[in-house]
Amino acid sequence: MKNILRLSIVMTIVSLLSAFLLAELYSITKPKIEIQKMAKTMEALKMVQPDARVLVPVTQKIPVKDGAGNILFDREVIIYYQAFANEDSSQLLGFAFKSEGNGYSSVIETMVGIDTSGQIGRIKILSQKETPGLGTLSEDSEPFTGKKWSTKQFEGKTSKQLKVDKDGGQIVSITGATITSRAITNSIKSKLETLLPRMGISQDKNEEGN
Amino acid sequence: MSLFAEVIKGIYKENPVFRLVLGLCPTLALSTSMSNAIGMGMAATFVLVCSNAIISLLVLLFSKILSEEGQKSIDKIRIPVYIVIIACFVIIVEMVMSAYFPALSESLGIFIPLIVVNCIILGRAEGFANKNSVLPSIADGIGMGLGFTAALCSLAIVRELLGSGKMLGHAVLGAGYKPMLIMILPPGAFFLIGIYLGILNWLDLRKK
Repeated sequence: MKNILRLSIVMTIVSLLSAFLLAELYSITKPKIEIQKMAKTMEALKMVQPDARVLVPVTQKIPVKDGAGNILFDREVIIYYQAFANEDSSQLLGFAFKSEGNGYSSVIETMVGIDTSGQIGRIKILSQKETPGLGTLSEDSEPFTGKKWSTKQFEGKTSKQLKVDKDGGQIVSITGATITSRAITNSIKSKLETLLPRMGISQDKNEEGN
Repeated sequence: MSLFAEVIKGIYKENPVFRLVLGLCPTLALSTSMSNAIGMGMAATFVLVCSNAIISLLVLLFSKILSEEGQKSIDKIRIPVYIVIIACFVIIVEMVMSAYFPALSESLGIFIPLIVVNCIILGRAEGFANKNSVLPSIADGIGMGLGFTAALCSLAIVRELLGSGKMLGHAVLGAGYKPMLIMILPPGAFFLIGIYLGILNWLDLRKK
């Protein structure tokens, strides 16, 4: 009995001290980490909507449920951004959103900018951990010549046109990394199709370009 | 053994990667570029020094306040205690790194939290810090950490050069060089570790 007590006391003290130290440090570093994340998102937004002066996040409340299905609380999640050309937010330029897709060895996050008709402007790969030298080439954004993958080839595409060449589409995939190219293309396509009605862009109008 | 000798032994004579052959998982994964190697090496060194220091301090403390029998009984939970202490320092590294060095923390990714189960650190806690006093334990931590960093760098410099034609992130082999992709993939690390171990063993044999 005495032994068990001794073991528990030692373990408890060590754990408590560690927890206290970590809690203190967490409160110091957390705002810094948030700022870093925000800066990264802002930088990507500027890249996909370079002419925007004001970017307004559009949020949605997503209920957080416990195991039994009861709603605990609502969490606000940014679903996309509205990009305005002027300070007073009257001239809508387009939208920006983040898409995620499973690539070959990682989840690939892409920031996508579209105009008010739903046509893609620029895209920027936010994070990926694909095969070095193959899938990682997806981040290259050399001018698009029609022969090699470039993130610039997405410019002017509508959701219907988003399909890699192997699937009979127009997106030139990376040689040796079709899965990566397909993941990026399809994740943008599916996210775009769910968001278009919310942004008030009709899919029919979007398809006219074909 | 003097403190200086404790530091030095970790770099060559008892190098954790090439002599003790510990911690190969992060070695394979993070010797792809010099910046990864140095970042990982520094993070592991910090955890190693701190955990060695705290563990030897705790052993000292318990030897003062507990009877012989009491010390023996708490021996049973030494591994969980080590893990809590090591995990605590690893989370510190992780938080500080993502707050102040976001690019590095992104490229090291999952391998920072995995320092918790890095066998070099647990190995030194069990094999050195709980048998020695505080200062030698810190010296051992520094030495082992530097040895780990040196091993990572010696692999990374070759892998980065051959695998991506770069040195410290700068292209040095010119645009005409076609990178040997296999060198930055895991097989490249196996080849190179094998070659290094062979050379070191050959040197040792020749000395005798």
